[in-house]
Amino acid sequence: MTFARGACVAAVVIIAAATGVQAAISWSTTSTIATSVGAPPVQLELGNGANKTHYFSPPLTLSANGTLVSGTLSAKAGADARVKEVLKIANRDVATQNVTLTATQVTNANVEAFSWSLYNGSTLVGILDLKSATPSLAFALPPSTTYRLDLRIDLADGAGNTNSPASFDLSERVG
Amino acid sequence: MRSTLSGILLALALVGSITLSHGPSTPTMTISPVEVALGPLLAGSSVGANATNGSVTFAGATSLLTTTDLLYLNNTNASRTYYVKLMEYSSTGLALATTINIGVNNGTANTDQVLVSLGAVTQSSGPYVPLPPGTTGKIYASTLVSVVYGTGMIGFEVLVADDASETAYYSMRSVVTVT
Repeated sequence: MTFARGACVAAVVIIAAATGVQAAISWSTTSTIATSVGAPPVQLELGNGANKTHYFSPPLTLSANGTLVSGTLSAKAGADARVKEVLKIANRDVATQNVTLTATQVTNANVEAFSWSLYNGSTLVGILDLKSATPSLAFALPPSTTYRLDLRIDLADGAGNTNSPASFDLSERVG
Repeated sequence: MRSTLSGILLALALVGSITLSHGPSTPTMTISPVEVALGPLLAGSSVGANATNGSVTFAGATSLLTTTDLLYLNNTNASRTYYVKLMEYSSTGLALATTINIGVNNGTANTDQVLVSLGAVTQSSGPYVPLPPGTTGKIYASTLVSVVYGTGMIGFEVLVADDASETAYYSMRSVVTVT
């Protein structure tokens, strides 16, 4: 949920009261609520793996509020490629946040494996498998904690730009 | 009448939780060839369509330990050093193999990676070996097998990494059949 900066929300409340006699009394009042924009409690960050230009060209970039990533993955035809710490996911809040990562299933037959592995240090938290029917990974992210995402993509022999996916997606839901 | 508006408004409370959703992010994807590629070297050897999967069949030596070059391992990048190692993932029919050592030559020296001794895999992987930019390396096998040895197969991954700590790497599969 976001609010436009500086916007005001006006609430008009109309209250009708019965006074016990035939006539009713009503009055109205207007309240004004000021709004502002705050940073999301959970944000994406670029990891060291995102700087590897032989795997990401153009390099990955993040939106100003750390919610969207863009760039180009350079997958290797006929090889099983893995890049550590491509992205990180950080909880900026003082409370634990329940986070769910989702993606659209990749059905292209030339993609033999495609996944994001989520790590807390050296401990595997879970895997978002983009080859599964409904890719989804839910986890609790403790306050002031950052987890990392490693990428794996395995392409079949003969994979090329004319017979492989041109893009993939990644979404986060908090709460 | 004294207004009880504030009290009434306090009673109008939101019920439930708020969910924040971001995305989807939609990075694009392109397909590119590997920069360290396999190539056929020994007669009869072959590699896959993208120079990533090798296959070679040859006769093992029966009297003296003999080294045979099997496949090329070419670093086509003009400026980046890659690090290469082999990792066995499958083997069959090696019971009568005295010695089969599969290794990497990086243009300077041989480094054995997968070791078979007296019928068993005794080492499934070796250390990363630097393959300098523009270097043509090789995958070789040193063999000594029994005269009654039949046919054995060793499947291994060729790992090509940015560094020895594997911050990024890709793997290619190859199969060596020793007759």
